[in-house]
Amino acid sequence: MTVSSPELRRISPPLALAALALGLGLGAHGQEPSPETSTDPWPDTSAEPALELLSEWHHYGDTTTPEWSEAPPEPEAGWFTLEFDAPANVEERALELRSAHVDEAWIVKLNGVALGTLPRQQEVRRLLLAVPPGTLRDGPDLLEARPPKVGDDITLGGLRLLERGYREALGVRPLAVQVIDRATGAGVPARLVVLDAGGRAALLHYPGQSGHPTRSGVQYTDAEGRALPELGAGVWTVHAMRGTEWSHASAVVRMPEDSGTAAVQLVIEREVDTRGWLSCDTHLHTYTFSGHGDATLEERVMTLAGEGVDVAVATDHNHQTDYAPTQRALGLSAEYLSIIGNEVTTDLGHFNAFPYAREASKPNAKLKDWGELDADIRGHGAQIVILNHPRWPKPEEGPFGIEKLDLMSGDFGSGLRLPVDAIEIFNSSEPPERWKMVLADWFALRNSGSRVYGVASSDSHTVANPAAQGRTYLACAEDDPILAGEAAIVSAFQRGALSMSQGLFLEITADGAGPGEQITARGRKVAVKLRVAGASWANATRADLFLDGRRVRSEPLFKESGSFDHKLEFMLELPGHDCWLVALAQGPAPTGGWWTTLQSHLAALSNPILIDGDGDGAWRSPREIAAAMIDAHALDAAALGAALSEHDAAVAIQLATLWKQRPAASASFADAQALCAHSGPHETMMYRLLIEDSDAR
Amino acid sequence: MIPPRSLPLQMLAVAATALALAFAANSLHPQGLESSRDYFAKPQHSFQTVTMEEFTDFVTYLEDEAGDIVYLDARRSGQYQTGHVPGSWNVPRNDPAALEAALGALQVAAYVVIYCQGGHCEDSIFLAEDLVYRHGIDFSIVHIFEPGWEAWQKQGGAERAGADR
Repeated sequence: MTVSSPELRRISPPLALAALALGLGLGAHGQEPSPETSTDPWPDTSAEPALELLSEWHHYGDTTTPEWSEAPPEPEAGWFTLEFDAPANVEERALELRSAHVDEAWIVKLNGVALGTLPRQQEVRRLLLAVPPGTLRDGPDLLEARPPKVGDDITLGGLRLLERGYREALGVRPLAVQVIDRATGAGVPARLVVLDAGGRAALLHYPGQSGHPTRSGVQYTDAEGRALPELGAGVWTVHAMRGTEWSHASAVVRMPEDSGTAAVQLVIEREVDTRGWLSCDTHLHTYTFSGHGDATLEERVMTLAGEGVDVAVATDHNHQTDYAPTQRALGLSAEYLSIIGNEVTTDLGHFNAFPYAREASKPNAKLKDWGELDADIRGHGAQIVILNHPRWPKPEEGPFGIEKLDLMSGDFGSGLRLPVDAIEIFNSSEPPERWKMVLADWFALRNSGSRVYGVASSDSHTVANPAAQGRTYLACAEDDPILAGEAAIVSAFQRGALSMSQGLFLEITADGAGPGEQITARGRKVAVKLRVAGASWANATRADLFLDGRRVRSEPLFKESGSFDHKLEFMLELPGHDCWLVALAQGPAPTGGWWTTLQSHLAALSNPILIDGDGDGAWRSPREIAAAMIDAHALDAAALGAALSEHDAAVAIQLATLWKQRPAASASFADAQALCAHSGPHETMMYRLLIEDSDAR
Repeated sequence: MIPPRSLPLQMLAVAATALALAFAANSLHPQGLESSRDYFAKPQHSFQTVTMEEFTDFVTYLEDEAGDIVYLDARRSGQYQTGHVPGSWNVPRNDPAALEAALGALQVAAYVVIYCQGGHCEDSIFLAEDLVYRHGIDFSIVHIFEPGWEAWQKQGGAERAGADR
């Protein structure tokens, strides 16, 4: 744009820029809501005879929004209500509406009957909802749309009650799906994913009304493996799966143009042998009690059965939820053991705590001291406390960021001594690769002497986000979780007899001892047995072994086809002092729209096996080893360096940490130089940590 | 001696005298600068290097099997934002927070490939030394792509702008 007006030319450049920015900003505010997207899945109903209920756009919420030009800037009310008159319906009808700027789960109800939720989208979305027979009544009818709590501002308009029923207007009908366990020939609970011919998630109708947890492209079966996804005419691919240990099956189904229905049977089988281990998801939510997400209590109970998990810990936010009555009502009690837990949601962080008795009162989530909070959580009955997602929402904003965890020393800058039993390393709802950052945290903590274990979970809040995709395998002699009981589960968590999973299964022993156990090494080597297994849809391409958080061995893995069960045995050289061993396996995530995940990899990670490398019958962490060395050679830096040369890098880093914490008068610069000069393979590292860092300060 | 009358000549005389004194002092000092040495040459290092061809293969591989290879871009944040190898972490020199964010990925990687601008840029070497000698990352997995970003861009390699991680 050329500025030609003399008046405009007199405006100073900064003022002109500010005016331009303001103009652009106001211009943006004045925009219409984004148009309906071309992906609108609903048929054109504009010519359908209908009762117009609300043709103009209206604004609901509690905030002034001048930028939304389609509706008044001031909200009319916190939520939408409308009284209207329509004849009682014997036949099904359909409600059409448009909404925009929706962040929360606004539930649409007609005369108290839930019809569905508004799509959580900023753009304008059109929605058709089924109005079941008998919902409308003679006399005034009440239509409403409410958020979980007032505070989410939305716009709503274009409400019409169609004369025709939903099923008739859309031409949909049920597809009868039966999922069978190949081993028994009986139906088995499973997760279905339905994709259209282009590989996109199919629009599945009647969510919340079918008796099956149903969302876009996803439906879970009942206890007998039956499901009835409602589909329109066309070609669809139906996939069935049942979590980490089971195969995946799919079939292409053609729904005829006429009103005919179709049926399909899908056979899956258990492919991964996990005998001796039970799978457990320690982090699960319901919309019913957490107030966000979208999985109701009934839906959560069914999704867990469909994911083939053995143990489910209910952890709604500051609520102790019991799945057992709902499991009984749905015939799913034998599918998995449920444990009452609580995600104690505090300013310090989120803590999954379990088990709680049904009648237990809730911990005080307002406490702001780590020690007091931990004591209060346990005081209400919990025996296990897990710090969840320590780097969420952002690495620097999670508890480990706020408490300033130092990845060299494993110490918290705040002086915190972490009181929990475990931290969540795999959380399948977190951004991809976030777990690697928490892994570095964990390695540092373990080297500093913390005995904290690692766990995996899903943190699923919704039906579509698979429960138990992140899961912890816990060692248990009893393979039936119901017979094993709560005490055996708690014991495994207390002992650290745990292996984390995100799609792969990993088992490791050193001289016969597994995670959470301690062995005394006979000489400088241990016999390691490593097993990495996965279903036919999975793959593992590499396994790594870490001693004291440093990789000491890497093994490439290859699979031919189908499921795999890699078994590796070798002698692992030890550093000659106490150390801890973990194994990690990784592989690419499956491709195809049927695999729903936020993660870029499959992975599995063991908990530590403690190796008493010096044979004294006790186990000491790298920090404790370093402290003992300083005690033994306090006055002779050269001897200290010589002793360090026989230890690994983790001990060297801990020794440097302790050395720097000594009073300045107790060690001269010459002592530091002598320590570095005699520390053999660690000379360069010690020089950087003790000399260069001192110079930098 | 009669002092030069003009100011420029006086300045030239002072500079010449100072230079002569500096050379004399340097030649007498036991740790004086060596006149035959190239102090601006790229420092030597003992890390493994990857060629342009290998780097190209790695970038392709990275997209298929994310996680095995970690790319570290050792340049300044602004340069990274303008363009970088897709999927790379930006770990500028003297930015411990950026290094700590990438540390977990480095500990589980099979290969670490570090690059900086290219030419005489040394930041990739300094970063490699920090990884190995300060954080204990396995020396054998650390590689330096010496041609650097300029050469990669010149040959039309894949790139991405903005924040990537």
